[in-house]
Amino acid sequence: MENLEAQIIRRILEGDVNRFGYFVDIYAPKVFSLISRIVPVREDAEELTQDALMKALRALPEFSMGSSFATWIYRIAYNVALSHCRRASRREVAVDEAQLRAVSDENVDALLDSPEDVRIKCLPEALDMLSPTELALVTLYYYEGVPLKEVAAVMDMSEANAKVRLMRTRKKLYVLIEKIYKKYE
Amino acid sequence: MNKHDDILREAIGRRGAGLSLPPDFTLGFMARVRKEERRRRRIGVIWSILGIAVALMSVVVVCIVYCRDAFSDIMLSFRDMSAWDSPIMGMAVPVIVGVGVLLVFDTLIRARISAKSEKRQ
Repeated sequence: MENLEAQIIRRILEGDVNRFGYFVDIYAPKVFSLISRIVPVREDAEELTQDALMKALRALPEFSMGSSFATWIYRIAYNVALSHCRRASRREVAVDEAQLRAVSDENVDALLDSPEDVRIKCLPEALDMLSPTELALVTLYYYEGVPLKEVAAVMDMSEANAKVRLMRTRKKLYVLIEKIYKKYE
Repeated sequence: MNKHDDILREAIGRRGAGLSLPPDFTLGFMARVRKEERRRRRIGVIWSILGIAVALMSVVVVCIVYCRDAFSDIMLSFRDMSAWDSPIMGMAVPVIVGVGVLLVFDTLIRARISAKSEKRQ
C-alpha cells in the first residue's frame, strides 16, 4: 500500500468522500476491464463497475491498510461479476473430467503456441464457453498480468489451487477448441 | 513470456474490444456517491431524531406512571377538576413542550453540522 493511498483512505474514512475520485480515476478502468471480459455487454459492465466501486467505498472501513488495494478491489469486482452471472444464468459448457485428463500439457502448449494453426480461430468462441471463474482467472493472469499469488488472493483460493485451475482452464480451452473446430469442419 | 501467453492475451483482449468507460465516468460516479452520502446522512439524522424522541417519550411515560403513585393523594384531591387541570396533565404538558423544544434544537444543530461538513468537502 502506497503512502498516498493510505492517506487518501484515511481522509475518506474521516468523511471526505470526494477523495474517492482518486481511486475511481485509477481503478475504474481496471475494474471495467475485468468485468467486461466476464460480462461483455457494455451497459451491464458499466453498471457492474459502478456497483463494485460503490461496494468498495462502503467496505473501505474493513480494508486492511497492509494489503494491496488493487487486489482488494479486483476481488470485489470479481464477486460482483460472479453474482451477476449467477442471476443471469450465464451459458457455460462443462467438460468431462476424463476428457481433460486425456489432454496433455504438451498438446495444449503446441496448439496455443501456433498462431498459424487454423484451430486457433476457434479460441474466441471457446472463451465464450468458459465459466465466469475461469474467465476471471485467465483475464487476470494473461490479460491484466496479475501475478498468480495475487490472482489466488482475488479469487479466494490458495496459490497451488489457482495454478491447478489455470492448467485445467487451458486444457478445457483445448477441448472446446477441438469441439468447435470439428463442428465447423 | 511464452507465445501462448500472447495468443491468449490477444484473444481475451479482443473479447472486450471496443468496450470502454465513458470519459465522464468519474464525474458521474462521484455525483452518485455524493447523492448517496447525502441520503445516508439524512436517514441517519431521521433515525437519531426518532431514537431521541422514543427515548424521551419513554422517560415521560415512566415518569407519569411512577409519579401517579407518588401523587395519588394530590390526584384524589383534584379528581373533581377537569382533565386539563389534573396534576398528570399539569406535569405532562411542560414535559411534552420541553421534549418538542429539545427536538427542534437537536434538528437545527444536526442540520448545521451537516451543512458545515458538506461545505468543508
